[in-house]
This record gives sequence, structure tokens and C-alpha cells, in this order.
Amino acid sequence: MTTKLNWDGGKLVNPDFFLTGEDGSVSLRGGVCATCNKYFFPYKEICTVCFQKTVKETPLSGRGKLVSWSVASQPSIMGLESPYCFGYIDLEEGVRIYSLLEVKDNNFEVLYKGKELQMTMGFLYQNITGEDIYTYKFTPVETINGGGD
Amino acid sequence: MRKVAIVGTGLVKFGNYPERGIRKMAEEVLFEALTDAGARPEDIQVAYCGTNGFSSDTPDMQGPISFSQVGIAGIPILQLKNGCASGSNAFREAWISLQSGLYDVALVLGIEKLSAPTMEMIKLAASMGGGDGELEGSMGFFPPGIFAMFARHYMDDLGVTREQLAKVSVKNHFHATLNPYAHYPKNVTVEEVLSSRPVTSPLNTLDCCPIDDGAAAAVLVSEDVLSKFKQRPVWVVGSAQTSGTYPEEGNIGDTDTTRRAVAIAYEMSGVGPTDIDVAEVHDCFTPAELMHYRDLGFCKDIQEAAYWLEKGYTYLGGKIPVNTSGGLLAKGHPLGATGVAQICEIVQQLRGEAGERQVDNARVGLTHNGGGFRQGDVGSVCVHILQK
Repeated sequence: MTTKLNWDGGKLVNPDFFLTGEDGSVSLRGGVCATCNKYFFPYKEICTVCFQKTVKETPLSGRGKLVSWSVASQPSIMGLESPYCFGYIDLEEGVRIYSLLEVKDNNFEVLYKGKELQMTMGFLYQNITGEDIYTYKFTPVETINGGGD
Repeated sequence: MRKVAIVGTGLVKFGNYPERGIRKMAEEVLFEALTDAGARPEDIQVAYCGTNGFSSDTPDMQGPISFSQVGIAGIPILQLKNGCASGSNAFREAWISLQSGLYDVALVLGIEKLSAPTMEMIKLAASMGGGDGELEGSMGFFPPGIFAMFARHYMDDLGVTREQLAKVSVKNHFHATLNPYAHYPKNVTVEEVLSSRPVTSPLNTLDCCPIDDGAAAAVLVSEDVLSKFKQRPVWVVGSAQTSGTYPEEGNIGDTDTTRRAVAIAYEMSGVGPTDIDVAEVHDCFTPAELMHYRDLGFCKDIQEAAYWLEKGYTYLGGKIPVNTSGGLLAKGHPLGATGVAQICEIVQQLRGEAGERQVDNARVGLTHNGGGFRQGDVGSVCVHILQK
């Protein structure tokens, strides 16, 4: 069961990546081809499998399994503070997605290939005009289900 | 297919040269390559420059500015920006231009200056060069990250040890001590690699190639005009380029982009992995070299690749010496220069001019250069096979 994620409207790294509902919910803005059922992220109009312009916008479940990851020891040029963790996740819909990973207390030792993760939202960096920028992140499902903060 | 040979090369020692810009490096290597070939500027019919232009105010003009340092202008000049593979792709396009029959003499320059005037430009090059700025690059991804994930797969799933990865750096630093063109001709130990500053887990600084400046050049001619030049040809018998397919399944570190390029090059040249006497491969980060042993067909899998490294089979004097120049790790990796510098190393080996790092009886050599990355796969791979 997907936990509904709420978003209070802070500036997003790329609004095209997100679907926000009137009820304040937010999800990943994916695409699904009405002809061949292939899923995409980010959303795109043309299906690369069947070459039809039949891809419909769809919210993605935000649930997936960790493929691989690494923990950066240096702050990034974009302004991300270190340490920060990033990796690839295979979503339920068959889409592989890049994401920053959020783990309680930066205890990245809990990560392993195949670990179940769930989408969340988090701070990315402050841009050059001083605005806080947010994006999607992935976190262990137990964090969302009440096992963590 | 036309027979095409390399008749001249030029190379500068890689390093950090704040006082030496694009012009000076270009002038030096182009003069050396032309002189080595017995060629004059007016002999060149087409010229290619592999460069990413990170540090220059005029990245679009680095080719014309560079070639005019030796009086070459007015002819078709093209720049190729293909990340870390710019140099080998420039070389391949020069080869293709001769294959077309439109030209008989081509000049290739690979050049890069990463020790830039501003720290912001260096960081930008180091952190985002070659990736997907609208997606991964906008959220913290940087080049060592993908290779860190290769290392994780090899260690967690395939039993490769952290020490074995470090031994790639140890080997290539040893080879660099024999190469007057290397940036870091200094031995390192496994302990020094493991205790060097962490970059992105599990990789440390000595698992990563340096950020530096350099240039390399080569003159290519068709067989039809070979007699006009100094007669020490090295033949290009295989050339291939592939790009990634970005699969959404499988392990990160298992994509087939290199294997497809290698298969084409072997088929074209009629040689196989056991015929290769010396190879320059893209060891941007330590786990990459193990992957290349597998993908070039030297070893059947990553475990055998690690075993080969342990046994010293890829050291000078071993079964197939790999990266006798010191590789990207210790010779250096000024991006656009690297692919052409790899060609220069193999030419020196096949001509018997490699000095202390000479591979005995080297007759067939291979270069492998990759660049760019997204979604766990590389952007471009370029493989060449050279024969005496």
C-alpha cells in the first residue's frame, strides 16, 4: 500500500518530474504507453519500444528495489553537503531511476542490493539566488512505515 | 577497405601546467607529429581535434587555433567533444575520412587543459563532464559514482577484494615510473591506495585518475601516398565505435557496450584477444580495468580478471601487458588527449621505441577508450587495433 506523500509547495529541482494533486499529494510523473504498456521516467510523449505517440502521463508508485549505490565523501559542486548517498532503483513498474538516498542518521550500512525503498521528498541545495530547492529521494520502506523518524 | 597507416606521432608529458596553454601544447605535439612523419603542414588535407574545451574561452575554436600554430588553416577542420572518448573518436573520424577515399592525409590532435583559470570550471568539469545534466547531474551524480557502483557489484556479488582493486593502481603507477610522459611516475602501495582520501565509496583518490593537462597528435595516411613519408608505418587494422543502450535491468557493471565494439574491431582486423601483445585501456577508475580485461576477451569473467591482476599477467613482462604507459590512473587523463595518447603509446611499442617499458616483439596492439555515462552505461566506446 503506497503511503500518500504530501508536498507543501517548495521549489522543485524540475517540476516536470512531479505530479502534484489538489489535495497536496506528490508523486513521480511517469509515462505509460497505451499501445505496449511500457513505463517511462521522466515522462516522454513517444514510446521508444513501439514508436507510437501514445504515452500517457501517470503517477508512479514510488516503490522499488535498490540496484546499487555509493556514498560521496565530498560536497558536490551543486552544493549538496557530504556525505550524501546516491544510487539506482528498479521501480515496480519496470523503470530504473536515479535518486539520492536518504537513510536515518546517515547509517548507509543498512543498504543492500534488493532492499525495498520508497519515494520521499527532501532538500537538495540552495540555488544561486538563495532559494531552497527540493527533489525526490528514496528511503528504506521501514522509515515510511513508522520504523524511523 | 583502404589500408591506412599512422606515420607520425607527437606527445607532451601530462601534468599541471598553469603557465602553458592550449597554443603551446598544440604547437609542440603537432610539430613533433609532422616531423616524425616527414610531413609538412601543406600535406595535411583534413584535421580533427578531440577536445571538451573545459578551460578555454573559445571551446568552439580550439581546433582551428591549435592547428594554426603550425600553419595549418583553411582545410576542413572538425572538433569532436565526446567526453573522455573525444581523442579516440577524433582518431576514428580521421581514419573514416581516409576510408571514404576523399582524402589521403589526415592529422589528429587530442588536447585538454583541466587545470583551468577558475576553480569553478575545474569542479564543473570534474563533477558533471560527460553525464546527464537534466537528470542525474542535477541531483549530485558525478563521474566516479558509476565506477564506484561497478566496484560494489564486483566486491559484493563476485568476491573481488578491495585490495585487488587497489592493485590496478599499484600496477599502473609502477608502469608510469618507466614512462617519461607520465604525470605521476611514482610507485604506490596497496596500503597507500586504501588509505588515500575517500571520494565516493568504495573508491579513494588513488583509485581515480588525476585532473591534468596534455596533448597528443598523430598523422594518418592511406597506403597510396605512404612512399611520400618516412617509412615506419603502423597499420590501423581494426576500428570500432559503439554507444550505450542504457538497460533498465541487470547489474551495473555488466552492460555490453565495450564487448560490442571489441567484437567489431576483432572481426575487422582478423585478430583475437590472444593475438594482442600490448593494450592501452580506459582505467579511469580502478574497477574499470578489471571490466576491460573481461570485455576485451582477455579473461572470461571478472573473477578471472582479478586473478590475472594478482598473478601479474598484465604487468610488463606478463601475458598481455596492459597500460604500459601508466594508464589514465598514473600517466594522466586530460580528457581529449587520452585517446590519441593511447595510440601514441601503442605506436611507440610496435616501433620498438618504448624504452624501459618496451614489450618484447610487440606486433599487435589494442587501444580502448570510453566516454560519457548515464543510467549505468557508458556513452561511447572506441576500440582500435594496430599492427606493425
